[in-house]
Amino acid sequence: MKTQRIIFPGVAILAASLAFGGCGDDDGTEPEAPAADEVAASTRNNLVWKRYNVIERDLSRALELAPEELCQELGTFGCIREAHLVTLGGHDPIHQGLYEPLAEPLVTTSLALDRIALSACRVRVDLDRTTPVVFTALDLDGPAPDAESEAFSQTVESLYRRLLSRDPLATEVDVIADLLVDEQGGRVSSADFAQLACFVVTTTTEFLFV
Amino acid sequence: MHHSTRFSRRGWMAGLGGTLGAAAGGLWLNPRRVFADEGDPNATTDPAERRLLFVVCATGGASIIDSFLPVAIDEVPSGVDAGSLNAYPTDLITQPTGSNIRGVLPVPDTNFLTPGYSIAEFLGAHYADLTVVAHDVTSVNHQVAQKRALTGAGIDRGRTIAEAVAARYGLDLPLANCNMATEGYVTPGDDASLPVAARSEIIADPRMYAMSTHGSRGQLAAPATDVLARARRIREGLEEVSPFGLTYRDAPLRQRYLNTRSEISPQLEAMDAITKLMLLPSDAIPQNLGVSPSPLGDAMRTVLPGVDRDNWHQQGALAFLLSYYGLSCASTISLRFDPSFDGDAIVGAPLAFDFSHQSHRAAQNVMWGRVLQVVDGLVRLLKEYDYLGDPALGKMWDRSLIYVASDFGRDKVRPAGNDGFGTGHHLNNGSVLLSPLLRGNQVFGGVDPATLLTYGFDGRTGEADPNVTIREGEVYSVIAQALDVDFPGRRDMSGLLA
Repeated sequence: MKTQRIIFPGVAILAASLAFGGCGDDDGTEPEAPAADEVAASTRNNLVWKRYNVIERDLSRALELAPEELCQELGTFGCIREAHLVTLGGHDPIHQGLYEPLAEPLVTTSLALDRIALSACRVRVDLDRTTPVVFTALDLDGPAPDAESEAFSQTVESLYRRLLSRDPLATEVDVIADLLVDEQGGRVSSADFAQLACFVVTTTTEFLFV
Repeated sequence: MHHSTRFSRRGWMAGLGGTLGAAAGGLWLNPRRVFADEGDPNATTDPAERRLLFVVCATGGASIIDSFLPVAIDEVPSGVDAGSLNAYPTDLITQPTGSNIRGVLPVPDTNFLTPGYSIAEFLGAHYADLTVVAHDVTSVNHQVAQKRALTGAGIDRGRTIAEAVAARYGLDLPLANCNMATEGYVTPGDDASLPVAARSEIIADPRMYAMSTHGSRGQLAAPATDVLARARRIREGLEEVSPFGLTYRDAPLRQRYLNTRSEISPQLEAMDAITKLMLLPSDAIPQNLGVSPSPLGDAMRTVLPGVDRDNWHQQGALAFLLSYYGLSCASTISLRFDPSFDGDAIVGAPLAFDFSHQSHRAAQNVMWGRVLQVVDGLVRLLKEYDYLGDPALGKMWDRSLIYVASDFGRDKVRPAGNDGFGTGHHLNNGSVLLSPLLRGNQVFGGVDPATLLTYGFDGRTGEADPNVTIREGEVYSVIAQALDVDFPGRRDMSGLLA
């Protein structure tokens, strides 16, 4: 899984990953993030939009959910292969005569992805209450853990490995720690933290583009 | 996007907050400002100036001599075998009092197709607003011809007419150019310089499209709006510190996606597009999801009775709602090639107008009626509603143009005396336009009763001229000129303007 992730983005991201210190340190600490000006912008910006079937496959594999469990619209229509198929870069030759998928995401692509991520993450959280698979370090019936806790760092690391096939940087862990509390600084529930952490990682451009 | 200092999370989030705050502050002034400096220097965002285009695609080859330019058998000159031409008996042709345009009445044999709304009904109701333009096309290949019908065969840098209208009037609209059509009609134009905001938003299922306009509503156990908004801000923070984000900070595809996500998506949610565009009735929406039908749903059902079961009517309804609520200024809809059913009745022919290969008159008659029913619904709605619901902006109709496009015409001949014949594709045809911006109740050009071939006209005067051939570029120019869309090489079609 990790090997695939390094290969797909190509030379530039490989170089960036190496520059960032690889995929985690042996002592368990998160890799240090370099300053932005230390990272060369890629001159080969030929990103590829990850289409509906890859989104479905990656999300299904990462969260260990069957494709049909990921998301339903109105309790009836599959989000990925029915309701938002074209929005997610699919083609529809039979009904719309759309023989080739779209070249770029539509205006509504990010919103459709948000919906799918929110749903899939919530399904995973609900299932993990009884049989933990992804959020194994969290007490999903209790409050969110502390930012310094092993439960928190383990959860973030698990999400990054499952969804992005790499370890998070320290700065990324630091940013996600904001999800542990609400706007007023109060501790959120563990389940809400799990859903939103999963949501933000799933909907980053790193998940959508390769 | 370049950063010169090493940053902490707190510092970064503070900066991000400021950036997003500035973006939000300017949202309502010019939500697509990131794109607004692109393209047409005449582009306007003033709703008072905005024009609305509806492209209604009669897929498969809608023949003008089977709708509004019919020739009667007894009009065919002596010496020509009328029985070998696709001329109609006189009693199948109607011309309402006051109308300068004729139409074909329902034909007696529609094969297995079930007729509904008729050409005659439409003509009686709308002849005063109807403009018929006789012309030729340059391809009899469906996909090629369809695309040329919308690009004027490339006369405007390869832009479709909907893209051109969106670039002129829609740079501040979240979904300026919406396309629900099929095959060549859903294909984008070829102008790489087209502003991003004018590119088409492809809509596969008009009934479900509203769900795509909101990131959370309607999802069970979705977080509260403010909670989700905060999570999204945190996500933007991740974008700025991730190796992927830093490495591909200059990637145009990613930049456009981020721009859209941060600027247009919140606009769609704030405009409550999910409610305004929701075509499903309340009994089809689970009550615990916080999703409601469009306030104009019943109004849609009054004039487009198939909204709850017919994709074609749904396309028409969504096109109207997108325009009425100020989300779009150019909509393209089309018949699809798969058959349509109303219960057991086949109301839409397989292959749409192209079923003429098997049964010409039945397909043309039934499918013209099917197209015109949605056009009728659109006209009625546009005449009834004030633009954006604001009486000061006047009726939507006053700023609208409906272009009924088709691929090409059909053969003009038939086996002698045979009414159940099939036809091939033909370059010669005509198009139908409806707009108060055009001279209505007019046919521009004409048809030669000896051959049933249409001929053109002088675009500056509108006078018919059998020696002139009008093509896709002139049709495109008529629409562009009526909607005040200029481009290098636009033909002068002043003779058709109101």
